[in-house]
Order: sequence, then C-alpha cells, then structure tokens
Amino acid sequence: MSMIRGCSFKVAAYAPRVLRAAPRATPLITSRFNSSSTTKKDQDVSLLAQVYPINKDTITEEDVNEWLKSVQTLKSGKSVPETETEVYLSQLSNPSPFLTEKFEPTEEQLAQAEKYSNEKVPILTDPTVENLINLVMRHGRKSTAQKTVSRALYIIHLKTRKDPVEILKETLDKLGPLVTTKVVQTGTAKNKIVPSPLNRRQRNRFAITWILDGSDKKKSPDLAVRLAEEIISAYEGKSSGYDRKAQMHKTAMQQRAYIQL
Amino acid sequence: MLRLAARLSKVSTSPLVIPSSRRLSTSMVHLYAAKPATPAGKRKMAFNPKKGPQQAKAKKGGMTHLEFDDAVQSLSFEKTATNLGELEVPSLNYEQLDNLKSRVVKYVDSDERILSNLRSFKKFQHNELYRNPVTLVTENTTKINEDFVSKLDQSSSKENRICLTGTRGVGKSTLLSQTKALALEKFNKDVILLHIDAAENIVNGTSDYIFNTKLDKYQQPMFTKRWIYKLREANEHILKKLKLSSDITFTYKRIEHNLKKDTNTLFDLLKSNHDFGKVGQTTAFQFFLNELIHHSKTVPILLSIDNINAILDFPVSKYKKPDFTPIHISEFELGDFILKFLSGEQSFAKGGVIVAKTGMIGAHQKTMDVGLNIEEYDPYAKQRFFDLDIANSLKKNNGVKSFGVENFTKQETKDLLQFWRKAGTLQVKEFYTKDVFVTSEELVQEKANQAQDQDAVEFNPEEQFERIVNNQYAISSGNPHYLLRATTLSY
Repeated sequence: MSMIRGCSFKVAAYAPRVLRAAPRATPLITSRFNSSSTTKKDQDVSLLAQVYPINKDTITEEDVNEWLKSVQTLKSGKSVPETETEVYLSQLSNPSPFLTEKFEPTEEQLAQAEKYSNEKVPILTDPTVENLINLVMRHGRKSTAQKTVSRALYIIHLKTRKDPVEILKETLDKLGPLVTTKVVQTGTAKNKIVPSPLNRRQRNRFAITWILDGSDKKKSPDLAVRLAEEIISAYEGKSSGYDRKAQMHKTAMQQRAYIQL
Repeated sequence: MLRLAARLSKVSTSPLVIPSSRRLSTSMVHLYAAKPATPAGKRKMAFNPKKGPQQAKAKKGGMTHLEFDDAVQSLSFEKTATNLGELEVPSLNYEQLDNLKSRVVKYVDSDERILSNLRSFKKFQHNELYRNPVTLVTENTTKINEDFVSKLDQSSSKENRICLTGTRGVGKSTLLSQTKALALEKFNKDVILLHIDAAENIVNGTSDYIFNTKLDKYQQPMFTKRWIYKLREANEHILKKLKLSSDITFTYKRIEHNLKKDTNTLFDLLKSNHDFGKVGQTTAFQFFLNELIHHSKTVPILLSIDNINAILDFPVSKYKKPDFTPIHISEFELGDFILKFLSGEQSFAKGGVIVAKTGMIGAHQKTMDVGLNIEEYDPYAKQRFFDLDIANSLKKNNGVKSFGVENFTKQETKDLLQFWRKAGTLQVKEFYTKDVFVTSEELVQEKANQAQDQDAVEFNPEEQFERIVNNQYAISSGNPHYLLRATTLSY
C-alpha cells in the first residue's frame, strides 16, 4: 500500500517534467478522512523534488547523458552517491524515508482535545459499588454478584427514594473503622500491638465485610433482599458492625502508646 | 446384707411371667436383670412432634422471608413513592388521547381499581416504583385505539379480533391494560371486561377438573369460580344494570334460589350462584355465557386474554383422562369458550376479542405464527411444535389480525426518561471515574486549584441527560423492559 501511495506521490512530483513548459500541477490529494496526512502544498514537495532540478523548462542531451552515466555508476556498485543525479536516482530507488506520514491533528481534533483536557475518563460503574460486587462475588461469578448488588440497590432506592449509590457510600463512611491494630514482632518476649490508620478502600472493606456478615442473619433466602435490609439498617445506625467498629477503636486507643509518628 | 440390698436395687419388679425356672417360685414377684444404664452424656430423648426439635432455632430478623421478585411486590414500596399529583401526571383519557401522545399517564382511579381486580398489573412491571401504576401513551396506543377500541360498539366480536405480538418486554400486557382502560373511558364504564391474566393456568395442572357428560367437556370448578369472582368485582357497575333474560333455579346450602327474568340482575346471578365452583356437573357458566351473548346487543363486551400462546402453542394440557392420555385445550369448557370466540364461531353482537402473546415461552412453536399468517404452513412440522386445528381456527372468519407492538421511538424514550428523572428514578449525575486515593493535603490543593481555574469544565446536567438518553436508547433499542432494567437495575 505504501508503495502504491508512493507511486502516486512520484507522479505528482514529476508532472511538470512530462508537461515540459506547463506550470507545476496541483498534487493529488491522497489524504483519508480525519487522516493525519498533510495537505499543504509546500509540504507535498518531497526532498527528492527539491534536490533534482525539476524546474527545468527543457531537457538537454547533456542531462540525458548524465542520467545514463549515473545509472551505470550506481549499477556498478557505488554505495555512496555523490553527484546530484546519483543522489536523485538512489533516492528514487528507495523513496520510503521521504514518504513517511506524520500525524498532524486537525483543528477540530485539537479543539476537542482541549475541551476534554480537564475531564477524567468515564468508567462503567462506581468504584465503591464495584468493590462491593467483588466482595459479594463467589467462585468468580461476577454477573451473578452484579445482579445481586443491583437488586439490593433497587430495594434501597424503593425504601428510601434516594440515590442508592450515595446511600451505600454514606453507610460505608459511617460504618468503616478509621484505625486498626497490627501485631509487630519485637524479637523479644513481648509483641507490640501498634495502631495503624486505614485508607478509604481498607475502611470500606471492613464495612462491607461486616454488612455481609450481618446480612446472613436476615431471614430472606435471597441475598439481594438480605443485603438491602442490612445496608438499610446500617444506614439507620442499627447494624452490629458498629459494635465491632467501636471495639476496634477501643483496642487502638488502648495501644496508643505504640503509635510511631 | 448390704450386698444383697445393692443387688436387689439393680433388679426391677415386673408382673410379667417370664418363662424360666423361677416360675416354680412361690414368691409373688419375679426378678429379672435390669437394663444396662445409658452411658453418661447419651441420654435418650423421645421426639415430641408437638414440641419439635429440642434446640430452638435462633429467630432471624428482616423485612421479609420472600425472594426478590415477591419481596418488591409484597412490601408495599409504592407507599413511599412520590405522589403522582405532585408530578402533574395526567390521567388516561379517551377524548384527549391525541394530546397525551408521548406522555406518561396514570389510570383514572376507578379504572385502576377495575384493572387491579382483573389482575392486569403484573409482577415484574415495576409498578412499585410509583404510587399508582403509570404508563406511556405511545404510537401503539393510538393505533390500538383506531384499530380496536373504536370498533367495539360498531362491529361484532367476530369482526374485531386482534392478537398483540412483539418481542419480550415490548409492552404487550401494558397495551392490553391501556386498551381496557380506553374502553372503560369510551363507554363510561358501560362495557363488560372479560379478562384472563394468565392463560397458562388453564392448562398447567394447577386446578381441579371434572368431566361434564352433558357438555362433553372437562370443567375446572376452582379456576372458573375464581375467574367469575374477579369478573364480578370488576364489572359490578354494569352487571347491576343488566337484567336476566331467563329464569334460573339453583341450590346453595340446601336452600333453593330462584332468580327471575327481568327482575334479578347478572350481578345477582354471580353473587348468589355458587355452582361455578361446584365439584359436580353444572351448566352455570354456560348460562352466564348465554346471558352475556344476549346482552352484547346493547353493551359491548371485551374479551381479553394475556399469555395466549401458553394455551394455543401448547394445547396439550398437564391434565389426564382416565385412560391417562392428556387432555387437549379444546376439551375444556373454558378452553373451548376461548377457541370459539377467537375463531369467530361464537360472537358477541358488540365487542371484540384481544389476545396477547408472551415473549417468555414458545419461541419455536409454529401454531400461532401460522394461524396469524406470520409464517407459512409447514406440512412436515412436528406435532409438538404445531397444531393444525388451532392454526386453522385462528384463520376462520377472515382470521385474527396480528398487531405488532413496536418499541418506543427516540422521542418517546426521551419523554419517559424525563419523567423518570422528575420522579427520582433516574439520577442524572457525572460519569463515574476511577477512584484516586490522595492525601488530605493533595485534596486541599486540588480544590484550591479548581477554585482558581476559571476554565474548568462545569457539569452540565442537561448535556449529561442527553447522553444518558442516547446511551439508554442504544442499549435497549426503545424496548421498555430493557430500558427499565438499564435504569433501575444496573448500578
């Protein structure tokens, strides 16, 4: 394909020679729709055309002789071309370096890029919901988990008549512990229990795990219904997860002497 | 002595005579070895069915013991919904139908009650989303009004037979409800609605059945009784106006009831006659049917059946004859009634028959498609896929017309989503983006930068709504079922 395109390019560059005295013909526009190929007139003239004197009105006998001589010289195995004609011919046999297309965005594309420069890339689901789905998932059955969570959120919407994703986020914010404790081995007889802060994802994980534990105590055979019930009760501040959160905070408070700042 | 006492304590007394040498004893009691004591920790417990298992299960809490589908229906969520009055939702009006195009409407209260009595609002239609069932007036509504409802009082039911077809979730059952509501509005409730909400209940083996030798048909007392009860509740207004055209005598609880011609009404008949559910041969339904045919000269009668392909595409029922061959739908009293009115063999002087397929079953069945001239008759079709008699009966008397229910147009989709947005079902918010965990200092810095940055892209809800409309329309192709699922059940 590149060779074909290259040929059409060559013909365009040769046009004045064939027509002799005629002015330089407008080059063929070979650009595709939304293409990166350039369309400006001066850029269409390749290095090839610039090197060889194509602007000559007539071709003399000397020119032809020089041409044939150069052909024979190159055929005999000369690797580095010296004269203008030799350079021209060597480039003619290998035009690809001069036909490489550079990507040049159109003005429209530039404007569009500018428009979206401050925007983030949209994703399909909310990351918090995705986290919940992944924790509900068993045996890699993601679509089943998605269905369960979607149904649970639907029930939450019906019960509260608010955006269920916001309610879920709010619940996780309320339920998630801020700090946990880690056992650090000191190498001596007594290990240290060091309080350690949790980031948002870690806090969410604790909260979701507690919600899932709490949902097992509901009586519906459907996980979606149980999950919805537990999220609603956690939203209302009734979940058993709050006791566990308080216990975690209490332990951390007791061990606050080991906090390393 | 002590040892003897200890040994005696291990034996028990028994009045039984044990065949042994001790029989010769002169003592009044016979001694025999005691049963070995049960090892500690293995006490034998007798099972008492009244008390149940000894360890009581911990009671589980929660709103319901039901699964999702039933839970959303039974928990009365509609009570928490926004009042439709606040949303300025108009009522479905026959006269103003042209002005209501592409608008979400509710049913008139009395109509809604009637439709509810007839079980027109089904599970999985997400009616729990709003205080009252709502529906969108579409091109389909206008077309069914022209093609069917307008002819109810002008032609016999033989000339006015329609079958709603279309893909799953396209709104066939909803259109059936709209048709009934339009008929009620058009005739100011002076129309008799005969509606079967799930035709599969006739053939799926869920009711009792007995053979009536006079009719040579199988009757289904419980199904008929329940259906008649629904009809009585729904059509009370008009049935109270219609007098009986002939006398009837029947017995209930050993008391003879005589209902007189031109004195008692059809409502009296349905109220006092309990023969519809009698476990024995009866002609009560035939009498009621003849009365309906008689009154159809004055009052239009609309026979509507949902899930019709459950009986036409699968005509062989789960019920068996004494020789254990299955019973065909045409051998039932109710099945025969449906087939006769569907084929035009029997007809109401004024009225129409409208049936709707269900997209859930029968994708490979040919009977209805051939009967409705959608598909060509295949002489090599297998018996389990094709019933020639039923297909032919659908073609009788110029045939049942097929009415293809179309998906929503783009504009209709947009209007529906606009309503959902207003009602709070659809949340128009920014696209979700990847969660970036930053420190609090970075967050403060970012917010400060945003405040300074004048060129920052502001969230435009209208633009976003337009995007959502395009997206949802592309996902669902305007199919209401998938549209609802994409909006309410995809998070």
